Amino acid sequence: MAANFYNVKGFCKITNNAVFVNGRIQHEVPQIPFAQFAEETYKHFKISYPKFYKMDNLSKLGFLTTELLFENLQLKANHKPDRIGIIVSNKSSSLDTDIKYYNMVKKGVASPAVFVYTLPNILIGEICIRHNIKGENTFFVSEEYDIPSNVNYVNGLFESGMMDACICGWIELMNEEYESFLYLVEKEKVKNLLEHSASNIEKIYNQKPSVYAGVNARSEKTDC
Amino acid sequence: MSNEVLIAGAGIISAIGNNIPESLHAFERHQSGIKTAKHLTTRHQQEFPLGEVTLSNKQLAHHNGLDSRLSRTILLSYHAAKEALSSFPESALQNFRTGFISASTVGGMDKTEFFFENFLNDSSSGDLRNIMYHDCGKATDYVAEKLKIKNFVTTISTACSSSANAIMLASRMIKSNQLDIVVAGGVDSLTKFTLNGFNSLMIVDREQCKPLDQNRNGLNLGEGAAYLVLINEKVQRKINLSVLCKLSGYCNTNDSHHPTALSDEGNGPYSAMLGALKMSGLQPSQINYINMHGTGTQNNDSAEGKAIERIFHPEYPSLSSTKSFTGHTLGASGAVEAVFSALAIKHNIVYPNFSFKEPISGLNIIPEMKFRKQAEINHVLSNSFGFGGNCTSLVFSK
Amino acid sequence: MQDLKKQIVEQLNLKDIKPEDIGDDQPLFIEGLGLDSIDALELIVLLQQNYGIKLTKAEEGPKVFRTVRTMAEYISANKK
Repeated sequence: MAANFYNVKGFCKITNNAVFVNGRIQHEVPQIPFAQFAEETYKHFKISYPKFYKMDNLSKLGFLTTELLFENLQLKANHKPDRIGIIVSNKSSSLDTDIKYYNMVKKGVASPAVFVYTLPNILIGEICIRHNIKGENTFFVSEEYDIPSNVNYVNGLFESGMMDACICGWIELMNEEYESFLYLVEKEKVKNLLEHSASNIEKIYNQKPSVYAGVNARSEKTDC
Repeated sequence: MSNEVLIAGAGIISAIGNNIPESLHAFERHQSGIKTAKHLTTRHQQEFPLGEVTLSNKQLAHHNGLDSRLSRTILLSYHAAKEALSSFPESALQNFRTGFISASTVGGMDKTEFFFENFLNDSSSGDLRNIMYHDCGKATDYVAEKLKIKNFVTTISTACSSSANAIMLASRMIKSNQLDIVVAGGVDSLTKFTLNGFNSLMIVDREQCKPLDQNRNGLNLGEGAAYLVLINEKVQRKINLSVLCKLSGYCNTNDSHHPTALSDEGNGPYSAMLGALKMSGLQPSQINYINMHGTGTQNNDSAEGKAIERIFHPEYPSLSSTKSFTGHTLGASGAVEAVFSALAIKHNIVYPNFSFKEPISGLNIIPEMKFRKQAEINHVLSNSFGFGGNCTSLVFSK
Repeated sequence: MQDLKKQIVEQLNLKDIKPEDIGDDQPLFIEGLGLDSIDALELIVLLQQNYGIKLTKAEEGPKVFRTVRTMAEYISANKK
């Protein structure tokens, strides 16, 4: 039987009000609060998905990171929905929204729309609904982004034949401190430049982004 | 050498009992644990019956040699994990690679609520120790340390399917030969936060819930903790423990329809159940009992019922929702029901629904009405579906 | 009804919609504005917070919230 290779096809990072796709900066709006930055980014990339406005900050962050990850990638065409997985982790779970919700309850108002987001895996749900993903999905909570553990786990899922593609990464947000990093891995017959290994993921996660002059350049088709 | 995953220990605490024998007696005596809460102070106390664990924090702490100022989540978690490991010699944990995988939705929120009360009135007051263990992750770390489990510790937070996912992860780590012994499950304690939140979604019943009934009105919230101890055959040969059953199949999917509601056809549940059956190599007709997610909400019971019909019609196995006895224990529910499922195989028992009058219209799903012993139980399917569309099914076998 | 439309847009975070754009008799759910079950629950909170009306039966929702006009009529009839 032919060997399978697990290749990283693209990655997206959003932090400090800047969006990086495959290591190149695509958009930046420094010094405004995250909520504003999120809406600005949504409009800038001409995304049309009204439900975006109902999401909490953590879900908005995850949603945007995925949208921009897929700007150049053809996910849906290649795989059946139940063969696409999504494995994400963070440090603060949904604490940012939990606290906001709790403050509302103290004032006597329990908002169902806010309560819905007091679980970190709702962000996974939103991404699955948007991109029609129905496969394996889990949300881990850990002190730091544990790349070796996560890569190992996802490769194990691939090896057991559970899926053909997977969105993986770290989506953390607490007040105005946030960082998201998502990448797409696909099972293929041919090895490409960026195999799914802990060292490769550490490399792209820690990579110093290259900054183009003309910060608002739209992304071009790139390989990794 | 096959790498089967064996269940060699179980522990549980919920509204119906503080350990396994008490829980089984409750089913036998048909006694639901859902009633007016004693320990949770909330303006809704009289309004909603809850599945509250009968022990207070002080009693839990005293029983387990812990500080009573710890969050209830930690106290419950340790209590159940301790029972699960009770037949393991201490040396076992030192000589093998061990893991602790715990799930929770609320974490230490109970203590944080208490802290906020004081803090909002006077920002210099409020004991900071109360929020030290707020994060879900901290509760897991604390308990792992107390249990002396060091090789691998992690927390899963995927709503109501969390602890079923913890059990799945544990099995994977054993099959891939990374760990030998894993304590996996979950915990959640009742908080005003959750009660207010679920109430705002208008899915809470003001009376004893009626899962699977046409006239159901929602769920009753509950609390508890439950853990299974999963081991590989190598450990079994060395320690020769009494095994309850094996975990023969599992599957996790996303319903991908709405953050808090399942699709009408129950697509996520359908795929999860089929996937678990496929992995275990079983035909639907071989399942002897289904422990349904069965929360008692309009949406879940119809969707899950529809999915079951799609797979099992016309030959349905025995089925029931034990949430009618324990309430919906949220992050712990997957593990609570996994423990019940494992015990069903070990003791050849079938659990009833607490009550039932009329089947959901359009479906022919009729739950067990009486606790049964001496049933032939070889394979049990256990379902857990969470907000965010996360659907997990586990299959346990003799 | 103009005030009510403003309150609806605010409560439901309908950023892309102006209150004036909502028709008095436009269906709010399914077609029309396309609101969902969580939005319905938020409207229940709106009734309670802004008008002191407590809607305890979720089944009454679809009738009361069918259009802005039906909502306004319900509020006039039940306002505390």
